Amino acid sequence: MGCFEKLLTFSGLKRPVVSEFRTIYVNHKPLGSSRDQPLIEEKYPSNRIITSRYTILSFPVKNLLEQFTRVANFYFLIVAVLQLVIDTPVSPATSIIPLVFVLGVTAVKQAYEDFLRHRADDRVNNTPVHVISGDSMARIKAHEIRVGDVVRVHKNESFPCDLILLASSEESGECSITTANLDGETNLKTVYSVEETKRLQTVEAVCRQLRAKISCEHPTSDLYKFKGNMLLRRQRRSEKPEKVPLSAKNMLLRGAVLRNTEFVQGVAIYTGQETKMQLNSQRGRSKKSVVEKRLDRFLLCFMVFLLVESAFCTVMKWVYVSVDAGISGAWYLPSESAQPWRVVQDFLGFVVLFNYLIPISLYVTIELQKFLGSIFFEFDLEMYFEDPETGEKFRAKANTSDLNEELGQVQYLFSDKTGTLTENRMTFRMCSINGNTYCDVDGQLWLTEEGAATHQCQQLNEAELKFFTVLALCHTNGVSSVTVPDGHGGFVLQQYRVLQVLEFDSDRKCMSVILQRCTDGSYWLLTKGAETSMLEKCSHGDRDAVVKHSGDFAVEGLRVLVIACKELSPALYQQMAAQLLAANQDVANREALTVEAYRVVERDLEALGLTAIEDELQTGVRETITDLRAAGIQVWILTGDKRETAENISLSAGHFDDTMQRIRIVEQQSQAGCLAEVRRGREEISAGDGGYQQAGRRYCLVVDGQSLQFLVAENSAELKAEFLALCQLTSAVLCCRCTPLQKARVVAMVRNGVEPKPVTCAIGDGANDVSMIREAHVGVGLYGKEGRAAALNSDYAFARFQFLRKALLFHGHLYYVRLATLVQYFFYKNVAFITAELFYAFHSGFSAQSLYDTIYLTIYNMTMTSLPILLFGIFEQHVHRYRLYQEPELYITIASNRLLWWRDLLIWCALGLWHSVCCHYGVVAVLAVNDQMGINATFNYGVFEFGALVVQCVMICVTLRLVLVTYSINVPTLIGLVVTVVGFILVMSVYNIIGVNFFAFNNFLWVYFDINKQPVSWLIMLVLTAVSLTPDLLLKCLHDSRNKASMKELQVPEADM
Amino acid sequence: MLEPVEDSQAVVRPEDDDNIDDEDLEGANNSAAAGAGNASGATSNRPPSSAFHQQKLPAWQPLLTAGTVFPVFLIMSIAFICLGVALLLANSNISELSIDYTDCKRIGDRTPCANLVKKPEFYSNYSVCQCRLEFKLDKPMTGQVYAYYALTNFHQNHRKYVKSHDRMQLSGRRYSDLDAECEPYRTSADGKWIAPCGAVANSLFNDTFKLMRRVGSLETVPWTVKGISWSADVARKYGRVDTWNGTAKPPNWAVPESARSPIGYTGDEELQVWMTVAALPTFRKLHRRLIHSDKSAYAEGLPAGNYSLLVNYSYPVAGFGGTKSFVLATAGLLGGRNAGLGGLAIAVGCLHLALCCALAMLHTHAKRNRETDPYYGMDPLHRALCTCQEIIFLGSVINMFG
Repeated sequence: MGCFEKLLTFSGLKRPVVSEFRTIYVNHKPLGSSRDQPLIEEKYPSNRIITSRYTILSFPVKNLLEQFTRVANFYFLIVAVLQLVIDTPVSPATSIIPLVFVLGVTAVKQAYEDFLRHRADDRVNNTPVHVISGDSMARIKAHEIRVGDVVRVHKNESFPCDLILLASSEESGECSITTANLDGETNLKTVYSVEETKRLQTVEAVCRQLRAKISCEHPTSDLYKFKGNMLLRRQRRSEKPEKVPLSAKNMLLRGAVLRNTEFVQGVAIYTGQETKMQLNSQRGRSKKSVVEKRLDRFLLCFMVFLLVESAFCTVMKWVYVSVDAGISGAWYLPSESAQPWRVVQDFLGFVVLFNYLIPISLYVTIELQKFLGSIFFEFDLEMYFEDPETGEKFRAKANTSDLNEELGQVQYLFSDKTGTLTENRMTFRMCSINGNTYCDVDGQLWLTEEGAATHQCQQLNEAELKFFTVLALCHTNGVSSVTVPDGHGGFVLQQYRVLQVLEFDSDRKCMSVILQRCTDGSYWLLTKGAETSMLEKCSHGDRDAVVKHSGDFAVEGLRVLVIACKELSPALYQQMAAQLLAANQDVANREALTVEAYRVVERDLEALGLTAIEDELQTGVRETITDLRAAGIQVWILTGDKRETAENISLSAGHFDDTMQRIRIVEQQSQAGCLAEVRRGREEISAGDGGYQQAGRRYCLVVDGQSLQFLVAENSAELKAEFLALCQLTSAVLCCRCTPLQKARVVAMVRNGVEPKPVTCAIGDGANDVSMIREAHVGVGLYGKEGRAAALNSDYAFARFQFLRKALLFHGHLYYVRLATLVQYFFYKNVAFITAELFYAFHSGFSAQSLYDTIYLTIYNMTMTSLPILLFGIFEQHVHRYRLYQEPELYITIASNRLLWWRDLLIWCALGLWHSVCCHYGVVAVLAVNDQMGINATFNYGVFEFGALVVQCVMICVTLRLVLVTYSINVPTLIGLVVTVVGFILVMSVYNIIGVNFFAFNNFLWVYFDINKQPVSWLIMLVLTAVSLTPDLLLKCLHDSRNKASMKELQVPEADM
Repeated sequence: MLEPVEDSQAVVRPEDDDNIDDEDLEGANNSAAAGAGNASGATSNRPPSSAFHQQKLPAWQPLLTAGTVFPVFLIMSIAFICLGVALLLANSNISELSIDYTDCKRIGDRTPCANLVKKPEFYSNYSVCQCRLEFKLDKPMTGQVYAYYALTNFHQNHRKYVKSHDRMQLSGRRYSDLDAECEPYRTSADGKWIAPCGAVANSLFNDTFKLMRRVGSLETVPWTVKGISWSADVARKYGRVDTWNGTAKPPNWAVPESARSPIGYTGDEELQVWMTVAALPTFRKLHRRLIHSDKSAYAEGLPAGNYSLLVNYSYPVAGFGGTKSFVLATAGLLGGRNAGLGGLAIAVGCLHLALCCALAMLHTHAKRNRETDPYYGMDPLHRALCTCQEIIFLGSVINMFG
């Protein structure tokens, strides 16, 4: 029965039985004292971390399967199989060898990546750890930890799995950790032991005394939430086990590091892949760039053309056979009849012959080009930042290389404000106490009137004293004493006991501490928070001054915090403490109960005043925004900040300017209201337009979160459309008071709503920007002070907002131009190569005789034409790099995938066709007159000599065409050319001599040497190259003259001449 | 990605200094967390500042405009016209005489041979229609003279034909179990291996010629079959045959290969020439080299005068609308007489010359009007071609698809 159920579960027919909670026996010992009862423990995964995707055994199969899920690879597999089945005009080697090559290159790349992952995994998994097992301490490898083991971690070690803290070397049972690896926060955090176990500091104590069972929730990815409880039984006591609540405060997460504490002991609850760190490190959706989407359509188009071409040739073949005397009367040919299978084979034969229209190595070349290109992104010194404060060093980082070219296509930029545009370094600037305002002048407190400092405060009055006392005590750092003036010129130390810390959350938008004053035992609640939430909570104090001054400060771009306090009655405190305790013990409803408990005390506060903190703009923000706008990028700022602050920052960041008319849609309570406002805004713009076109550019739009809620709601298509239309009429948009979800919604609205579909980019630094970063086409994360979440979830990450300019205008632009040219070139070179086969069909009676030998069909894309274009894709700079910085308008010239329009593809293909015509018919023009053109009259250009000559012409043409479209001919480019030519000669010489017998196609013996011995071959190549490349030369000339005409004077810094 | 495992976040605090291991530990952990790319102070994370890493490699950035391109075209046009003229001059020194004998008439009853030798059956019956052609050589041919036969509309490049042979057999390394591609000329009716097998060999050209000069009487012009095949082919592609046992002649042949060349394929140069399948349906193949022995009348070449060509006409071409010619020609440095290449070079030269003139005119025109030109600074070619471009590429029409 049990076996059968397991089988059902295993085969997915039956849902596995999952208990609501995870049950863990600490140190694998039963709770009950009776030893005869066997301990039934659930099985959990080992602590082995697996970020690698393959093992040595699974690699060949798994990797191959993965690669064949790509349409192009699968297509070529089918073609190869076809070639083995049908009467093929060219050897199956022409498909199989390139396919193996392409698969091989990709496999090597992926194997290397996986090797690095394996190595990293092994280092983690084999780290020695100390585990209390049985009755003693043992040293084992990290991956051997099982759930329920008691692990001892020493100072400055990182935790090998998620642990519940049992005891630490400290008497208090506390320990300090840093969680930089998890969320990037570098401050020390305190984790608390369970009260009942904190004295079990020795191995013996744990083994002898600890009998406990932990029930906790199943693993989740939320780093800050954990619910559970522990049932404890001291060995000598046999009464009912105690139930102790567990929370995130008791939890040591894998990846965090123990600081300032000699050692800790904890019980493993989540291991390996189930640790919160692993659950958080999964990557998001894979994004596909516009170039790739266009590429797929190109491929489809070529595939259709291939089929049409093949069908045409098949029809022509049988028309020739039945009508044309040249073939029908050709007694020397083995006869054929039009059996259906014969016709099908002919069709497939032509498909195989013209198959080169679909460039097999395109994807692998793109992959290599992007991968190598992204390495240069990380090399960029101008995007490298050393934080002068912390000394941290940040390289720019490309988390993916799939979207490189998308950086060159951005049309909408959504930027966070705090920490992205600003430093996120809070500097105390002003405060308001009791209706007076004060400011900070070189560390001294000055009283101000009308914004000007009047005199320095020598002595603090009572209100001021109270204000600063609260300010000094109301935080989570655990300071519990404050030195205050005693009113007689001296100072006294006031001591407080911290009873509760009511931590900040984004719903309450405030935080509080509850203190007990040591001198008189009175209870105090000190609170600070955003003014919108605090005003509701404050019932007395100078509320009007708070409202007035918070507005004044915000206008100056300062962030405002309201400071409030109240004395709690002991009864109220006891009630609240009881509520909190109850909440802590209730695993299921902990949050709700906690908030309820907070609400009881956080009301009827006395507003003491407010502080105004400045968050300075980062350097270069203004220039960056100006340049990006000049580059045709619509910049939107999405911030959680209040409107006045946000508008002000927008002004100083150059997002808004004074000449812009502001349209505000704020504080709307309904959809209808929003709609009216939006319509009013549109009317205002059309009225103020005055008939001339650029007038709309002077408007900017301010929207707040409350109104946004209606504007971006799922069910308001009409309103959304109107709103988008309004947004497109304005030149700058600012959304303030946004929640993270609203940020993502705004991005999604633009992404899906604007026609033609734009490319969006989101940049942010905090965890609240992650959803927006993931939503946008390109997500950019800044290494911020608020942690690494944004950088980890982004596609590209760097340290400063101003680097965006280089990332988009320089790297993005170049990536795009390179890739677009690469894609076009690939189609071009294959058209130039394979169309001659079609022309030759007219000469060979549509018999599918291949013009080219197997070797050329095999190596054309592999070695003959691949390296120069790959190097082009990495090193090309089509204009001088300073031009890219100085003329952001150049970015517009490549907008909307400009280089990959169908028209451009057509131009490239037309050139390919022309080159093919020249190379084929040029050779025909000479050899049709007389094919006895050797240095001695006995040499004759036969089928294979003819094809070899054409292919050499084609190769020269396509290589020189690449040289013509290259604007930066540098050492790697030249090396690429030399290697290609030398490689070609070597490969051909070897093949030529050994006459490789690929599937019995061995007609090529000595052909390569023979034709290159003939001066006629060289003259033909010379003349045909000249005539082929004439249009290319003219086009380049046209293109360059146009560019030169529009070029401004280039200013190159001396250092870079 | 491929970023090597780098340590991160390890903001080295003073109290950390006593523990060296912790960096490794953290580094390992961090890599598992998909690694933020910043490193600790200990290992420098600063990217290399070389020109290569910073993408500042010195590069030549050529820009072409009308002003710079027209001299290029000028040089090229001069070069190609010179080349073309030189090629044509050299070509004119090569003599060639081609006689189409497709419709030549049988000696005696004046029946057109083409009517007799029409069906393939005729070919396999080994009958011969003898005919004679008279021609006059106005100028002597000096130098080595070659005799060719030329065929038109003959698809030696048909796939079924091209592959119908066995290279291993021809190189003397295989006698039996021949390549299946030779079908239906692989085995004879009595089960013997056909030597040489395949359609190519089976359709070997079998007209024979006798060239006679009228010096009072008819004097046979001496020629040889030796040395008509590309020497590399003789040596490398065709081998000796040790035994002819168990082989049969190709069905269309009059005599077996053993009779043509007892030592094997390496001695049968006519076969070798034929087996080098032509690329185009119009081709010529070397048939004989004239012998220019010192003391004879042919020491300098072929003297002017009247000649008579006796043809043993047995190769049917009428069925597929082809023609046959007999060609006498000398050869130059590049090979046979061929005006194609010279003509092509001159055409390219002229094209470039025209482009050069056009560009130069545009260029100088723009210079003249420097003061009055409202578009001064704009490249003239750009202005001229801007409008053309739209017409050429039918921009708007095509964009409708895009």
